[in-house]
Formats: sequence, C-alpha cells, structure tokens
Amino acid sequence: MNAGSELATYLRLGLRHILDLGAVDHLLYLTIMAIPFVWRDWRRVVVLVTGFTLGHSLTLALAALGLVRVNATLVEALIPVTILLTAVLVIWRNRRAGGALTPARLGLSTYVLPLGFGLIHGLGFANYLRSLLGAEESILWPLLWFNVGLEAAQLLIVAAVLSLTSLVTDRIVGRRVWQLAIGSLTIVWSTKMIAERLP
Amino acid sequence: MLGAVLTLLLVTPPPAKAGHEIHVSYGRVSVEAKTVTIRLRMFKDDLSRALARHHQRDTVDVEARPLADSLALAYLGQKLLVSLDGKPLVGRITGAGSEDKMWWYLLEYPMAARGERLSLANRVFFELFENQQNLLKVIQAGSGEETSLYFVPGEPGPVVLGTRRSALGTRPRG
Repeated sequence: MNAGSELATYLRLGLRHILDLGAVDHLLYLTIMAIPFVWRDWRRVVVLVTGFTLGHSLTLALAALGLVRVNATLVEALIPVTILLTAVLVIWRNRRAGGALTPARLGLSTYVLPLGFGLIHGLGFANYLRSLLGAEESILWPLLWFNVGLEAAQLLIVAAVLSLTSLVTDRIVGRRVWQLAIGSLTIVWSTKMIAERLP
Repeated sequence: MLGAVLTLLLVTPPPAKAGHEIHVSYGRVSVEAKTVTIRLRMFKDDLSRALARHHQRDTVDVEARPLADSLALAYLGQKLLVSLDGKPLVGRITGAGSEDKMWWYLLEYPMAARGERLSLANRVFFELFENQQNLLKVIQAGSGEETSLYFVPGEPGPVVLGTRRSALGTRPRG
C-alpha cells in the first residue's frame, strides 16, 4: 500500500474539514472556546484544544471499531448546541465577573466541557467519514490521518483567534466588549444552525 | 461602545447556510486485467443538482432508473476521466443504489489492449462547488498495490499512474 498517498489524502481532508468556510460549526466552536484567552495564555489554550481532541478522538475510535453508532441527524443538531452553551457561558461569566474574562476567572468547567463537547463533535466526524467511505471500507487509517489533519487545523484556528484578539483588544475595543460581541454573534449563528438542523 | 458593537454584530446576517456544507465524493477504483471498475459514492442531492444543471432540466430524480442512469453516464463521461496510454476509456453503469444520503454507481471501463499508463481525473461537481473534494482509491488487482488520489477544483488532475504489466494484460487470460 502507498501509505504516503493515503496519509496525504486524509490529512488534507481533515484540514479542509475545519478550515473550509462551509464548516462554520467547528470554526465557531473553536473561536468561542478560545475567546477568553490571549497569546500569553497559550499553554492553557493547548490544554483546551487537547481536551477537545481527546474527546473527538475517543468517539472517532469507538465509531471506527463499530462500538458506537448514533443517529446522524441528532448529532448534527447537538453540535450547534455545544457552541451555543459555550457562548452563553462566556457571556454569563463575563457579566457575573463585571469585567473581561481572564484565565484566573475561569472555572474548572472551562477545561472539562471541551472534552465532553469533543465527544459530540467526534460523532459528527465519524458519521461524515462513514457516509463517505461506506460500510465496506476500513476507516481505521483514514480516521487516524483525518484526525491529525483536524488537530493541525484546530491549532491554526486558535492561533488565528489569539492573534485577532490581541490585535483588536490592543487597538480597537476592550477585552470585555470583544468577548461580549463574539459571544453574542456566536449565540445568533448557533441558534440559526440549531433551527436548521432540528429533525 | 458595547451597545454599538453588539447591535452591529446582531444585525450582521449569518452565512447563507450556517451549517456544515460538505461536498465530497469517494471512488474505489479496481484495475484488473481487462477492465477498470469504479464504485463511486456521492451525495444524492449533489448528484441530482448536477444532473439537472448539466442536462438543463428542472429536476432529476436519481432513483428514476434507467433514465437517470443514462443522464448520469453522459455527465460522468465528461467529469470522471479514465484513459489508458492517452486513449479515453468508455464506461458503462453496471449497478447503482443508495445508502442514507449517499448514492453509488458501479462503472466498468473495458480495456481492449494492454497499457502502461492509466490516467484518472475525478472532477464531479467542480462546476457546482468551490469546496468540492473528490477522493479515489486505486487498487491494482494483480499486485494489490493501493494509491489514494485527491482532486479539488484548483488541482483537477489528471493523475497518471504507472501500471503493472501483470495487472494490465500480461497475466494469463481466461
């Protein structure tokens, strides 16, 4: 087998699955997840992204082994729910704190939720690959390389969010306004997604 | 300031379709002694839309066989390109069916002569979607060698594969 060509193919598929502008859902989740942070918090952001990756890797692997099979329509509807909940949490904490969210003001749930939400997004990724390849194809290696592509794309997205946050909050608006603005926009868009995806 | 920013963002329209628009197809290509066989999987709604546009019809029901098969064969003849040593191979549909949101075709491309270079390009739906991605997994029946190919609108191919003589005609026939 030409493993190199398979690696390159599914790596690119994973990268584009996140970076594609049609993929607003995952992009929006990563944005709202990273919005309380700035570049000097990069270690914490890596913990968050790794938690999310652990979550979706677990469900991807379970689906690859045929141990999990969940209704695709339900999963597609739940993904924007995870985005909405994260955005509501950002705004609620922001208002409760009476100032911009900083890592010191974030609770443990900030780090645990991405793990749980990753489980749901992973089911979405698995449904996508299973639909594409069909039941007769082995999806183990494609899943692995696809996941590596997803991870690389996720790191690129959060790096872009941290850079944009630094740029905007240094020169245009304060951190609190920025967080409330992105949180509000995320609530509007994720609500629209939920409405579109309800069975 | 906060009120102004929030108002501006809340009136900003979301993307036309704020979901996850996936446009991808997958083909399993088997290169045997006398035929190339392709099992092509596509989203059913994408196929229906492409056939309607290609044949200038209002709608095409892909399940309305055999009419839909003939429309699809004409479309795929221009988008799924298979040639051997520079000569196009002409395919025929030998099977079709659906699985959930997907539709599949089984296509056979007979080879009249031996060949050294198999050329493949999968450009289905490139005319519809800028983010279309098409995957082909090529399996050489003789050697078992596998190669994965990836086509996107910016890199439409074709890709030329060196074929093994054993897989393309030097094996004993019959």
